[in-house]
Amino acid sequence: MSARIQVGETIPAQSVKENTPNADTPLVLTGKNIIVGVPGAFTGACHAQVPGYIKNYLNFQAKGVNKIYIVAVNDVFVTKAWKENLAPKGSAVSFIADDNAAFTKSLGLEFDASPFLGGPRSLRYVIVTEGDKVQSITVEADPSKTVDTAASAVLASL
Amino acid sequence: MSARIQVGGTIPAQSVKENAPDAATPLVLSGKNIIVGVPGAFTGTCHAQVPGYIENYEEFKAKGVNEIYIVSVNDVFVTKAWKENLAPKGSAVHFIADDNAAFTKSLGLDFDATPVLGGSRSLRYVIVTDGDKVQTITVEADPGKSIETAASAVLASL
Repeated sequence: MSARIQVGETIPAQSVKENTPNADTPLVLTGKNIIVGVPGAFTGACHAQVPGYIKNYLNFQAKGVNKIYIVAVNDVFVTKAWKENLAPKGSAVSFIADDNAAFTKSLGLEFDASPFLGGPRSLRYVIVTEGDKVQSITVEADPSKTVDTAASAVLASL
Repeated sequence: MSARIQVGGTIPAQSVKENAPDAATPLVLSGKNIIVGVPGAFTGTCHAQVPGYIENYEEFKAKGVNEIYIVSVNDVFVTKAWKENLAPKGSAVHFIADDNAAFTKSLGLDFDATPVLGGSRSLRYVIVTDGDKVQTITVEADPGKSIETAASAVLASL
């Protein structure tokens, strides 16, 4: 397990998937971006947390954010179905499938969710990047809650 | 990896999940039942194959089938969302979450789907049980296809 990434460090260029199961590339990180790690697609807290980012996309853009990436350790079919469920008319928010947890583990932000979900999953965190460097990182102490990682809290901090 | 289960073999009483992430119990197997293994919720072939079992549930019952279990290596939040997507008005067909792949592996019916889906997954198979014994087992040679494991083919064989 990698040590947890700190402010000032570089986001590893670990490939992930967004649109197809056999094409993976690293996240595009230029300027200011937000990476939101969530334990699982369709799980209660994630299902409640993510809409805030979809609804506030333009507000985030107005504060200089380029891309918002929702990252979960799920396969790409599940993340696409989840995005369609939360944003039936589409969204500029990217739903990222870290299907083998490699990206999440490279940040040191995974936890063992075997009892509930069957394997390693992402902690609930928000990273604000400046290019590919971590500008700020907030990790929920309890991954099943969304307090510091709610969209409204992150927006207010920008 | 367990050897692949054969006709006459006993389905291991390995716990799986259906409704909640923290309650795992073995499948209830009395009389005639059908277990349909699929590689992944929301994936193309599975998404096309499973409706046949939902639509033909009464026909299966008329042929003496008690329960139909759709089993995939996904967490219970994903399988519940998938069932809701395929059967918005509900269905007596069970969607089973083998989230850590233990049940699938106990049957020797797992394969390494890491490149496309991120980890171990179920082959595409259909088992007809007599109680907890395997009466017939059909495994698709290509998990990306559903030919012998289509509901119509299985129904015709009963």
